[in-house]
Amino acid sequence: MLYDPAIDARPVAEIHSPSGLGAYRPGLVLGWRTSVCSPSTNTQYVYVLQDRSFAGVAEVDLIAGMRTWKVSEATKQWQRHVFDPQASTHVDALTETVEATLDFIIEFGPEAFALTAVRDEFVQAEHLAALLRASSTWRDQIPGWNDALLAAVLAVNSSGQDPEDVLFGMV
Amino acid sequence: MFYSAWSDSGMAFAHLAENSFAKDQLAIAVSHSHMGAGHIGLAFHSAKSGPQLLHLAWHRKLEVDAVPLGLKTCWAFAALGTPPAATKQLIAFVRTVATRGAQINYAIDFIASRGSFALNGSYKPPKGSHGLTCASFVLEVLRGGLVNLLDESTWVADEANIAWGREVCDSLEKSQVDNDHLTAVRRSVSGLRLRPFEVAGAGELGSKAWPVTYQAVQQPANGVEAELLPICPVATATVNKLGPAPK
Repeated sequence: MLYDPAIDARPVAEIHSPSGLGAYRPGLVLGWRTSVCSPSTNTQYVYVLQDRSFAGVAEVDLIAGMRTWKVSEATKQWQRHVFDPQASTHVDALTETVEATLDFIIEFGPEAFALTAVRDEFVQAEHLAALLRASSTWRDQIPGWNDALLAAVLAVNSSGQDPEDVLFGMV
Repeated sequence: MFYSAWSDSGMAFAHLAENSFAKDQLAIAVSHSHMGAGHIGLAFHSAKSGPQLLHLAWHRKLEVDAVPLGLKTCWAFAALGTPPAATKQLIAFVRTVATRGAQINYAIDFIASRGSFALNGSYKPPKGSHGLTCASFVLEVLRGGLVNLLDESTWVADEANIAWGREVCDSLEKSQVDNDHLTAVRRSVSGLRLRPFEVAGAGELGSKAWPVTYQAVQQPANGVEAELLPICPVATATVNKLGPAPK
């Protein structure tokens, strides 16, 4: 049975297991399509359930939607500092970028880690360098990796820093 | 005492437990070992737990010791000669390696172990590699962060190193490692040896000297060993109780 948002009030429930079986908790209805997290795997899922008043609890096929949502959220994480020219370049902030980069690649694969939209004028040079260093194992599989390196060189030059420092080992 | 800021080369070693270093510094740390060949690790600040020392203590004993309270022996350290901005990125990578805590076998063929760490911080021995020593562990972690300290193709085999390799195998046997691993390590005894002080000496030389050849690293390696002695006198150095003969 497919979920039709036009005829439903779009309630959403949290599911507390990857399968979702038997874990529907009506008390946690929050609103239209939200994330759920498996405590055992820390995996994020999105489920939409029909309201019981309509046709009982029925899971709707949202596998594609889940993946889209997860990619979107993970993308926000690695882009957070990289696309903020004013971002802190403290080692802890750089660690966040590295971890978000690696989390994304491990979860979705290097082919999904698109760097084609990276432009030197919109990036924080050190964060982009940290991202490139962390992802260079997959440089041939990541779309736009080499262009992003060129953008990093331009961004580093624009910032007045030394490419042989920031991009050490990469240029 | 606070350790001084980065310089490209020539940084002196200092007592790890008695000096602090900055959060944006990555340091090479050395200590004595049972067999007298030295031991090596990487000192860095974790995001939340303060300064730490990451080292391969022995077969499947990758350790992350809190500095100074978790140190089991006397260590000396010096900042790695990587440029400052790149060093911060490297620290992020080393933190990832430390967090993932890989199970790493102890083995001596450092040529076969090139490329042991993917940049996601995970340990995946290349085909033909059976593990790492403390020295090749540091070398490979740094290589994983795109820092290439040594030109291993210039290493020179030595008859004395064959005896050392056999001694390592005997220690592994006493540690009751599995027979397949022991057999593989025995087969890899070739006379080539990467000493901890060679890795430390190369690290101290700075980025402009990398990758350093065997000949070029001998003098700085001996220099590091000489620096360690007054900082950690052998007579007072605490014996490493974690396992036999880490090198």
